[in-house]
Amino acid sequence: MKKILETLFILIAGFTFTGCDDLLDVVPKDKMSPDTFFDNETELKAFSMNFYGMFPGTGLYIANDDAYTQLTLSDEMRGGAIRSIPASASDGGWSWGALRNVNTMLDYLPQCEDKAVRTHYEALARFFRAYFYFEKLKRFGDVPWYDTQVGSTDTEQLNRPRDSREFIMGKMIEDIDFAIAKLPSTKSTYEVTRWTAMALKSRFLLFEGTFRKYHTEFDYGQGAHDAKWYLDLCAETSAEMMATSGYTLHTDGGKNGAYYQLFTTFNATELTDEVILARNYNLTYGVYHNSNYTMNTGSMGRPGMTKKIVASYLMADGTRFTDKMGWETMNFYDETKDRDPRLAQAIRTPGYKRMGTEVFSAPDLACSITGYQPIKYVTTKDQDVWNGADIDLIIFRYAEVLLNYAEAKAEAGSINQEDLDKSVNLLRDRVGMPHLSLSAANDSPDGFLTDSEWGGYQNVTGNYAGVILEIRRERTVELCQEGLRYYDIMRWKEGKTFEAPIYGMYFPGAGEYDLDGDGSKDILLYTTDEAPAGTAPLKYKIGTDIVLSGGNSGFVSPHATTDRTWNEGRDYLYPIPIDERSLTRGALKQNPGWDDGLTF
Amino acid sequence: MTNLTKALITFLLLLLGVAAWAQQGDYILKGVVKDSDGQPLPGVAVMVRGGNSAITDLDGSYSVKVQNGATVDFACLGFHNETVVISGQPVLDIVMKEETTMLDELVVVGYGSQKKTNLTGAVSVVKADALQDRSALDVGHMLQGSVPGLNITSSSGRPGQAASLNIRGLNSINGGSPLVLIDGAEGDLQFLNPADVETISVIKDAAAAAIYGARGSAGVILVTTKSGNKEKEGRATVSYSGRVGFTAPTTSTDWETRGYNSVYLNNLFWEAYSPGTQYATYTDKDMYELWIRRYDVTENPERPWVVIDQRSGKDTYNYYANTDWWHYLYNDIKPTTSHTITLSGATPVINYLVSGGYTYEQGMFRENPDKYNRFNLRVKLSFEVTPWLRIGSNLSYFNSSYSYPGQSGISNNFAKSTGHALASYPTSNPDGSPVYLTQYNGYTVMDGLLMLLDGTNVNSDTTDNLSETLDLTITPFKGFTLKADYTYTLLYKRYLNRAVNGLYSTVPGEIETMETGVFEDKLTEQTNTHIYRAANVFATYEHSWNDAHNLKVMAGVNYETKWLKDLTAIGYNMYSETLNDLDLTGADNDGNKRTDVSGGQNEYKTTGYFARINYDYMGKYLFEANARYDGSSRFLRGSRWVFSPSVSLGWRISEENFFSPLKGWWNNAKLRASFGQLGNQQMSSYYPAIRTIDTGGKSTYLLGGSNPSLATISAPVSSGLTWERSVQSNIGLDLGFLQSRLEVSAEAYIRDTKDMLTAGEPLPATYGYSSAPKENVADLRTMGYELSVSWKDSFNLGGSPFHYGASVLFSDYVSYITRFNNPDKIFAKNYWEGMKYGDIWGYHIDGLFATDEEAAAYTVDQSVVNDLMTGGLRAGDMKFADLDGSGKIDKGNEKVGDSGDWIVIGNSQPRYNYGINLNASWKGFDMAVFFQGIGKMDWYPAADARSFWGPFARPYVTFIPRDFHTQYWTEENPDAYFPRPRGYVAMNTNRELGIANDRYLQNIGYLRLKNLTFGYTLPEKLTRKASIAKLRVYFSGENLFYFAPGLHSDYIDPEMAMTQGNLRVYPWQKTFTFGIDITL
Repeated sequence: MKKILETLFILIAGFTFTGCDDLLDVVPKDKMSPDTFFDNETELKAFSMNFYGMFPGTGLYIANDDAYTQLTLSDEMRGGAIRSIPASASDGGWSWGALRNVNTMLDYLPQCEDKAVRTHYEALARFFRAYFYFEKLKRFGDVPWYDTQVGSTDTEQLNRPRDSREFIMGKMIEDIDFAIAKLPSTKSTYEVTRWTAMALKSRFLLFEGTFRKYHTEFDYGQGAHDAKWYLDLCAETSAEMMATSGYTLHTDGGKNGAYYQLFTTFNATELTDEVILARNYNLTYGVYHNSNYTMNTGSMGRPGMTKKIVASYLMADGTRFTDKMGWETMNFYDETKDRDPRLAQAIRTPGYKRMGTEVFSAPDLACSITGYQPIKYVTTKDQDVWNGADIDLIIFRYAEVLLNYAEAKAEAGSINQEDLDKSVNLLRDRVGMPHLSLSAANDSPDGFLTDSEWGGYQNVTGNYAGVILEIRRERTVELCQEGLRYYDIMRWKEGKTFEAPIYGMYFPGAGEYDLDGDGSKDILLYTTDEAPAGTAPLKYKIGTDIVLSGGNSGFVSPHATTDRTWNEGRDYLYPIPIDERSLTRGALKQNPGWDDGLTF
Repeated sequence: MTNLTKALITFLLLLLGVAAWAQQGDYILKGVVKDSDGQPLPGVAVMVRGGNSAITDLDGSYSVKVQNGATVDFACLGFHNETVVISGQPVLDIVMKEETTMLDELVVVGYGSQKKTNLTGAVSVVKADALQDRSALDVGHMLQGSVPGLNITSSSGRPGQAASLNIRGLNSINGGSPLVLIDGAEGDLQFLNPADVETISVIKDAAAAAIYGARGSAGVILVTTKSGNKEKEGRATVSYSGRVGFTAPTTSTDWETRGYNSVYLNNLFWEAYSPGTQYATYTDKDMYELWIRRYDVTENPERPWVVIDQRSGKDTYNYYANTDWWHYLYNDIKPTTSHTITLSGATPVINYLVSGGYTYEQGMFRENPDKYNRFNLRVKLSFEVTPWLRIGSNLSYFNSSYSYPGQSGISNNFAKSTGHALASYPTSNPDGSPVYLTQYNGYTVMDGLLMLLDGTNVNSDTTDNLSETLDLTITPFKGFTLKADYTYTLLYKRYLNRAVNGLYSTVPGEIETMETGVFEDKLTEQTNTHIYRAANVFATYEHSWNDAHNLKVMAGVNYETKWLKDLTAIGYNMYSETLNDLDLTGADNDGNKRTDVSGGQNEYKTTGYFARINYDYMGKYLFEANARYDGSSRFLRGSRWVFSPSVSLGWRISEENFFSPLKGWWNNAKLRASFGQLGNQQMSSYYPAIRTIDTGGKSTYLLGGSNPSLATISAPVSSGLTWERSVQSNIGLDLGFLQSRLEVSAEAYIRDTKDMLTAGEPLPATYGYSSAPKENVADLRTMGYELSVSWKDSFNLGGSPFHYGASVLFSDYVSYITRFNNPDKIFAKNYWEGMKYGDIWGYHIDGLFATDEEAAAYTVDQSVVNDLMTGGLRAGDMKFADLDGSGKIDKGNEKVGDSGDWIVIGNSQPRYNYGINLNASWKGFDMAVFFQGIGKMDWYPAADARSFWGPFARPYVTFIPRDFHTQYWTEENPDAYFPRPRGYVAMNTNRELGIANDRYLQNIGYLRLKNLTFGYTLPEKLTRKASIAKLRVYFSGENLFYFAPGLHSDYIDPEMAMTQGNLRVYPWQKTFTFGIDITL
């Protein structure tokens, strides 16, 4: 009946209004169609802006690891049962939208007839594909490789099993080599160039080389190259960059200011000597972050550098602070005196003045849980408000390439003094520190850096152990709070360091303290029921408001009661989200140690 | 005729305290009152003018004392009044004529009208008189509670906020709202002058809506406006209706205003969150200063609220105020007024109606108030060109403007006021500069609201809607009518938003400037133009034969298009702070003029062919069939057309012979049933089946300079995308008793929404999009019923008829998902087969721990919900019940059947909607009371619902309930409602208040006194002298009072919680108005 009526209607409709379907064909008039897009540089550039979203933002200064801690520890730091297998891809870092954009452009690129433009954007897209896969590989190890858009009905590709790590690395090297060859060599602060590609290549090769060296527990796939192959290639790439790029270290401002300038210059275009790529922020265009707010209010986790890292800064004369008698119980003022000048340029130390003011600002424990209050990317007070900061953030800088070079050489066992002089020692020169000597380092490896009580490195061995430790110290100091630390720990297989106590400043007991020696009291600690009278703006009751490692004295221990267990057999790789395992019907194997209870 | 019925009538009479009493010296008049069919009529009021009265009994007989020459009125609802002058006769039998307007009244249905008796679908009608006294601003809000199954909500309480309409609950998980047709053309209730409304038909089932096919799947609201009155031919009628009054908040505004308490509470919650730190660093001495001022409602000259002293080496403002921020920012009492003039009449050739209306409502912002203005104009003309040709024109114009201070989006301003303003802060510094940053922390007071409200940040939203319908009616021979109409509607919206730099002062004598974010100096002008065109051609043929068969056939075609165009232009660095025009765009520091423009447009077209057949036999057996065939431009060829058929049947049992013995007291019984299927094309996108590249975006990754343009590609679409369908069945029963004084109507329905568009089979994330392309793969079933009972009657009281009536409306429905691709029923996919729509999942709370020991002894791991907890559980913390005995509070494997301690604790759908209407009139006095409400609806206060959670949400709330310090757990107050103080715990789902649980689940079911009206109509003999036909004065109050026993707060309107879970929107208002209606 329904069919008959319907047919009748269609007949009537057909007789009375022919061409009705033509009338109802309406297409968007304010949007392009993919088939007519992607055919000139303007369009390709507009689409490629999607890719840039892969670059980190606030993650460049917000850290939660053994070097910088916060009020609440990350799940990675806590380990154990807190780390659970996420249900969905979006919770587990298993999102592939960014790659889809890259492959979409690569698929449509033939629509552009200008070969030079086409090549440029192919190179750019492939740079970002390598970048994307590096992020995935760091997190998950093996992952499936896709170099074209996947259709919703292409079950075989959607359920593609993981490709071997060797295969992925090979593809990443292919992509990045194409990018290096075809991207422009003209420097650009905010756009990806040949040099960005080379810096990325240096970074991921060092990652892979050291990862394979220390993580012998994984299978890297058929015909996998060994660690040395990657380390050598890293050294080679870094050396090429050092020889041909023309980048140098930023030295304006001198030993006590140049380093600080890198992180307090609003526009990275003024730092083109060293900065390879920065992320541009501009309040005028509504693009901002919260560096000042994070570091200077109490509600953003109160980030602070840890005692371990503060202690690892050398003395200004090149000797080790931790070799000094009583270094552990030194008060803050003495502790920060005559240190590697980078310390005073990374955290608040006596004499620190907020940018644009002439007022001394002591460390504020209300904003920094350890007392070692970070100052990188902290700018003028007018940017202290929420969403009020717009200083550019550095994604790649030349110092890292130098450190990559030295580390690759040292880990490969092929380093010499000359290598140190053209890498690490350039960094030392900038801050007026004595040079690192290969022989001296190897002759007396620093016991503090391997002290398990302090969460020191446990897996550094061999003839080059001494210099490797020193290079790690240099890297930690130079690149602190720049978003690299967590994966450094992963590739060095030093996750156990997360179990070590996390300490802040030392306090000998109750009393009022003038931290920066400016004559006014900064903090009052007490054990009585009520806070005694005092002028300090902060009054903490020991044991409740502030926990000290020795009861009524000792190091500030913000996480004394939090269980932390690092699972060596599990935690170096993240788990594949449960839904993804189900959706691919087990084609995606779970990472070792993660039991999701699924069997297929 | 049962004893029960007799008893009922007797009881009603006694209840109302009415009895006739005998008068001396008169004689008794007797008689029987019958209807035109000869049936006796019980309950007829027999009223002797100036004397007493009687009521006919169940046999229709009466007896009443009269004097010779007296005038007796016979009145019965549904019948024309009869008046007889007595001339000594002892017996007077009366036959009363039925009023045709009752059962035979015409109800407007799609493309025509129908006698109410012959209706077979579910259609409710609201008439003008039900709306005339309502003081809500627009027709949408007036309809709330007046039609069973029609649900009205509002997303904010700001003046001019349109109502959201819904018929019979969830239509689709993709949304969908009823089609609103005003005189046959698509329109918006918001644009109507309520005084223009004649009737509103609400079409609820598929049978009645099928004539609108795919446009009517969510129900149809048909508004018919008034026309010139043919009955009063030759005379023009002028009427004026005006009212003035005021609005006020529906909730308490008595917030904490003592600076000491404000600082103390916020710091208390802050410190519990971050031990050893304070939100506001008031020193002990400062706290003392606040303490001694705590009773100072106004500033005591001996204890100034702002003290300047030296801190950190310079002069600093110290704030010790007791500021009532609410009443500083907002007015509780705001004026409102409205006026309408209508001129109407008819000549033999022309019917005409011209009406104009003006409405003004002032909003709550105090210093530079927000203001809503509305103008309405309607010109409706109809010409009889020849006896067989009639031409009509219906022109309506609507204009509204809402101007307001501050940031764009009035609710944003309200939201800003809820944070970071302690009562201890003054409203401004002694030199008059705004308070923005203080010495006490790095937070900005109300995010800069005080600067935004200075009068230079101005906004206006303007709407113009011009609509014209031309229609042509041809009746070439009896029974045949051809109608054609064409409508053109231009809707033009204009938005202006001006932002200027903000000046503030933190240190005496130093003025600083904010230039970014909302303080960026710019002017935004935006226009949205919507052009709607519609044409209908349809023919109707009516024929009856043998006095038994009645046939009506209608068929036609409909074509509609809508085109929407947006244009936005922004100028920066304006030359003037007070003049707002883009010609005044200034230059930046480099001398460049900076502007931004953006556009955008959309379009759709639909065509439909429709037909309807009505047939009835002797008015007893009713049959109706509708069919429509719709095509929409939203779908591609091949899946574009949808067929919507329906059929409905009616049986008027009361017309059967066997029913006649009952007719004396049971005059109407009709059974109806309908079944039909409709398409649904309502979806957010105008081009759901086409993949596009959007180039209008701006990259947030900058390349130095302004935002680079960004092109994004839309997600892939499924090739077979087509209509959702809704299959509905409805049964209805209409009953009338006692000459329709008592009417009962009931409906029950099942609506299956099929092939709902939702993400297809979930795909692995490597696909690259968060969800698979949408496909027509989900089903939903809604089941419900509606009931209305009304009683109307009149009797003689003190020599005048006392009319009274009562009606109760009730409706309810539930919805279930009947098909959804989620076989494991995992929560992450939101829906699953068998899921009851609206279920709220949460944990069960076993109270608060009474002691630290009890807390320490509780071995269950609550870490999943105690993320911010440091130092373990203590007294005053919430005890989550480990229902599955796993030793850990969790959701198990996050799916139905394996959900750990996670259970259904309530349902967020409104249940048991009701409306109660009571009215009475006597001797020119009239009164109406209207209650409206819902029986049950669960609500878990959203994260950051600050007026519920107070500092539990954020330990820096501006508005803290005045009794809040008695509401949270302390050792002295162990039975408190809230747990021990701690900030931020209501913010995230890994914190104890942020995660849904049954302890803080609220039932926001409510009873609201929606309207109360008292009126008085001056006696006609007085007003006649002034040539006034009618003059009435009245008081009308809207939203006067509510009762919500399940809601633990006096500061939250339950209707706000229904739609705005975080409560940070413009508050709901009640209205008090005094009005006058004059008809010349």
